[in-house]
Amino acid sequence: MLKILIAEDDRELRQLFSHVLTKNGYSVKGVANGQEALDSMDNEYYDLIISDIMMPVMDGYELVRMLRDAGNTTPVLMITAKDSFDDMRAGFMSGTDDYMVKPINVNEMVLRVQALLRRAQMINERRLVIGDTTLEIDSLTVTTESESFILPQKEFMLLYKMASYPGKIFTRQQLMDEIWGYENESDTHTVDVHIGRLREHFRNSKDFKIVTMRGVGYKVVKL
Amino acid sequence: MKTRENFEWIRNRKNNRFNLKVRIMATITAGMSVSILIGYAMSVPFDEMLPYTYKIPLLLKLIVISIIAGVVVTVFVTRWIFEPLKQLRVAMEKVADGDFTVRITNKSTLKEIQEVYSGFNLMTHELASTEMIQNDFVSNVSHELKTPIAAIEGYSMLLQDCENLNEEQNEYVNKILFNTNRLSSLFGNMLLLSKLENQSIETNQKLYRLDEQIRESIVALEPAWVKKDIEFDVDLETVKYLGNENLLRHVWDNLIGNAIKFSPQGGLVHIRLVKKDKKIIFTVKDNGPGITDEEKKHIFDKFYQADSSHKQEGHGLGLPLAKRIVMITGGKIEVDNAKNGGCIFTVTLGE
Repeated sequence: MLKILIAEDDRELRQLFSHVLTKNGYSVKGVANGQEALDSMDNEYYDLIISDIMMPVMDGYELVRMLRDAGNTTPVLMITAKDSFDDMRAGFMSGTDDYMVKPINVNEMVLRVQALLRRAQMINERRLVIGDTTLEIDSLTVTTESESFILPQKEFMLLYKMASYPGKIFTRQQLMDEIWGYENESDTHTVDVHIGRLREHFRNSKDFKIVTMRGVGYKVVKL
Repeated sequence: MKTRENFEWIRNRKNNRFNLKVRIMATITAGMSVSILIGYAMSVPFDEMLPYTYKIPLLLKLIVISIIAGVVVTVFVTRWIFEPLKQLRVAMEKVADGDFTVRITNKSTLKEIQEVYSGFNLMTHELASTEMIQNDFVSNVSHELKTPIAAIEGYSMLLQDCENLNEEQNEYVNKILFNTNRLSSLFGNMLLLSKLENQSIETNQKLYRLDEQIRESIVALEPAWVKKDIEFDVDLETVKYLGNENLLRHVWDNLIGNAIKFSPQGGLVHIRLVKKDKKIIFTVKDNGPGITDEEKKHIFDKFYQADSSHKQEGHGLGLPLAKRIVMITGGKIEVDNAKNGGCIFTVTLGE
């Protein structure tokens, strides 16, 4: 059974999340602040942490910073009041993190927890599976039902990123920043070119397709 | 608080003999005395030195010397008074533009001027901390109120999932959920709106990609438009804008959200962002029922809800909030009927 640690200073919310997650088959432990969370993690392993930001003693930011500095890669789902969070978001979230804005929709929380766990597993296994297609990150290899081939790095990373969040629209600028780097001054047209090539490769895929939302961006959709 | 201490210290300094009044008096007196002395001293030998037989009248000499003295006095007065005034004006304009971090760091040897500078620095310091207090208040209250609401919503959802509820009970649970949703979105906007009503300066300005922000808004609203199977026609020029990113986000979220709300199932929402003559123009168009003249008059009023069939979905604060924010940035927002039915909102922002 997967174990989740909840760091939330409000007792009512802590209990609520606990109920919801337990109902969905997870094993849950609740603590009231960042320090207690770290103490708990000294003794036990957790598959995921849900953390509020505003907590006494040690807040959410501090908690995650300490974890990441120590090399801990446990996925974290942060709970936040939106406005204060946006400033931090850019330099803060890693691939295994996500956030939700209060008031929390508990059904959505469950979905995000599932998605986070799945992504963390993909990163641990160094591979992503979508339908019958497997992407192996270390070898840049894509294996489908009928064939196996290697993609150039940028194309692979582009597909990998988008397929990690199926259904989510990424703007060209976001893809440019993530895959080519924030410093890169190239035109986002490069993204279009790479998407075109990916579409060529996976023209006949029965597992997914790349959808364009004109003027906005691209997304990978499971078939 | 260093600024306040600085201010008090300057005010209490006793030993400064060189204050402004004394200086000006001394300058004018000295200037005039020197001029008269020079004039007198030179009136005799001056004539003898000249090769001309033409005698320069005493009056003319005195006038010339007075002019020289006047210029000298003016130069000093300008340096002591007008220069600091100019510095003050420049700094105040920055404050009016929303920058509360401005401080005047030059030193003046004049006590009065130094007092003005440190008074100014104290003022901007206070302005900055007032703004911070207001922000903290809004976010603290938000946080405290949102927590019990989150609990009510959460348990209602858990109730919904319970299998042994009869139809009546189910309906009640749905009602509870529906209304807590309304409540939480309502006061969030209410707090922000009330804070903005007391504010007319746009603070925290930074340069960012406006087109990307609008895209993010569209993507964030995806659950809503997917549900109604709405198509988008989006064309945004790349626009870099200097403004308060967090505030403007509310404008796009509200306007695009409204377009989705009033679109029919399977409708089309049309979004454009262009730069024209140093102005930035954002338009969002839906193909819903459009807007009557009566509604046009009141649509930006607080709590006004045009179409009563949609009344329950919103809270009537989205548009007043959007308008307030746009006005703070110095822009304007307009609504009209589109040519082939539906509503079109236009936001114009200055450079």
